[in-house]
Amino acid sequence: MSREAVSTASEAWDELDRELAADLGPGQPPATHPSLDELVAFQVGELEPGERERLLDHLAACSSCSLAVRETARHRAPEREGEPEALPEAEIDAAWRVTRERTVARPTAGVERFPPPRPATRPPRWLPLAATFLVAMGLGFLLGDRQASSPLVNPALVELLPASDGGTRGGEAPAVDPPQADGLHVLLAGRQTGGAGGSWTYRAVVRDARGRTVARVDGLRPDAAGRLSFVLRERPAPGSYVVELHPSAAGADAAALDTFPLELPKP
Amino acid sequence: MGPDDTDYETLFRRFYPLVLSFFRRRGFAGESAADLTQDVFERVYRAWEGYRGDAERSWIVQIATNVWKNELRRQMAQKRDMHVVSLDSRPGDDDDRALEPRDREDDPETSILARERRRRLRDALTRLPPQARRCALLRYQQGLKYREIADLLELSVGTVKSHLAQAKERLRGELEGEPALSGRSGGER
Repeated sequence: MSREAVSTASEAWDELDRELAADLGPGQPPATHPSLDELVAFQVGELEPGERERLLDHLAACSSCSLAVRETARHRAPEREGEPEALPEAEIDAAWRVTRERTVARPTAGVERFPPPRPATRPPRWLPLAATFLVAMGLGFLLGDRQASSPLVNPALVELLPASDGGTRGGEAPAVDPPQADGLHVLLAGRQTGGAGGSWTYRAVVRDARGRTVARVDGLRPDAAGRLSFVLRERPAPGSYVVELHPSAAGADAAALDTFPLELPKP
Repeated sequence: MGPDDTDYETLFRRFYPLVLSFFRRRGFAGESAADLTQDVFERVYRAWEGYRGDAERSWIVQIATNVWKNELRRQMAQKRDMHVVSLDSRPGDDDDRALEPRDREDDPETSILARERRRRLRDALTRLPPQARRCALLRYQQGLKYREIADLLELSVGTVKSHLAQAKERLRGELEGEPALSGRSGGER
């Protein structure tokens, strides 16, 4: 083949590239996306072969998810774990000093760092009697607050960001550890109203995928960082949930200030 | 509540190199690796009271694995949220040549033909073998370079090129059955 012919064939091939780029892309983004847990499972190599194939098909069609996977690909599992590297004693000493400050030297480490919310106001004296009456009437469940008076030793902490902050960022629960964790400590971060020290109190309603109320916690006040948190003594079953945030004063039908997606993976 | 200080320090000194190596081998460098390692040992401290087993190494590795997954999840959530699809940009080739789309829709008749052509191409795409189809989509829809496609699909660059060549041949075959648009002389259907 002559040099001119090769050149012409190469140009035609490149021209085809440009034509295909013009004709095929960019397409419509898919209407649905895998959960972040599925993307993580892909990245760490925990997907079954069939699931992996389906996810690859999605990545090929979704620039948003493929970017998320490509940008974190350098953090994939290594091919070989190997022995830990030897570290200078001074480096371990320095790390221990920092860790010590953040654990044993901090009396509030653990669950006390994020105390369960307290009621907005001191309850009136007649409230215990009224509550007893309601329980006796079989209406206690309507109160909905599942918090118990005794502190939990070690609730798993999940930090959620509102859906209005762009969707799922932080919306998936972290993998729960340790496995012995009891309860679920939900921290609502991101955009909120009121802020620390404000007089507003809030109500959080946890709903399952069908919109059924799983838990309701009222009287929440922002902490010093403007975040709200509450503790569910019993962790809900694995699945998709949404935490709705309302002002305490709002009626039951009022629209939520924010919603926080919550994905609880199977252990 | 926490473990006995001495026990905890012993455990920390014993497993700190293991956990730090765990993160370094997963591509976390410098302060990132140190911060994540710190996170692991804070969790270990908080969980100590509830831990009943004696397989400390595997327990700590499990916690490190969870911290690693959390970090991946956090980073991926940010990347996925930040991404904005540009309708104009076409990333370049391996040698930085841009795949500039050709404008061929400047009159109604051409526009109809172009839509039909796109439909046929997309149909043809669905008939490609899975890896060739993915390579073609990543190349022509997302404008990725060969290396980026290879990393995403965990293939070699050579395999990606081979899949793309196969896809192009098949798609060219699809295009050859239609009237040429480049001349814009009123192609017949």
